Amino acid sequence: MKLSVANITATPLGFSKNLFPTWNNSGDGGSNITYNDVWYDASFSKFPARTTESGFDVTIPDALAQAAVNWFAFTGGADAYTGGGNFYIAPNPNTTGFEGLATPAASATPESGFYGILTSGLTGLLFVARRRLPA
Amino acid sequence: MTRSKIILSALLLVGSLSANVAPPTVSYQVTGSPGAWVLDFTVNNNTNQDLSLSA
Repeated sequence: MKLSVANITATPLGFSKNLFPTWNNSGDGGSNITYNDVWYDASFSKFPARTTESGFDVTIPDALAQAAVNWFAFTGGADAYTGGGNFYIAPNPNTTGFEGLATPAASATPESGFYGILTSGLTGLLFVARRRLPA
Repeated sequence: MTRSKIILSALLLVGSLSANVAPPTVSYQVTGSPGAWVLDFTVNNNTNQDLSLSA
């Protein structure tokens, strides 16, 4: 992450927070942003494909929290990545680089009418399916 | 459409979704107070590879 200070205060299990004090992707075709809060897993095994990890915490002394934060990530594995949206890709071993802009998470609680709409939609789909299926 | 065609279509849809890959996404939640904000980042590894370096 690129934040006002380098002050990582929580790190997921298996990640190191001190190996790279800063990181810049311009040499690999990425932006010239210098990131100052960097986590690293040298084993390439603690954060598998298609999973979610939280607990990457930084404490900042600002009067206002940032409304958006630049981030980058590198992935690697036996299979090549073909999903696009990356600035860097290398074979043998397969390595892919990404950059983006993080924004605060939206509320995880659905609106009060959400479940009603979902239920009525599913009921309608079941009704249509029953009418179309042969007896 | 017969029942078998519906089941086959559903299986094909599930298969295509599971093979899909996309870039990681990052979001964060803010707690604390002015002068000591804590930003807790969540990373979704939507790729087909292990994620090793994050910032």
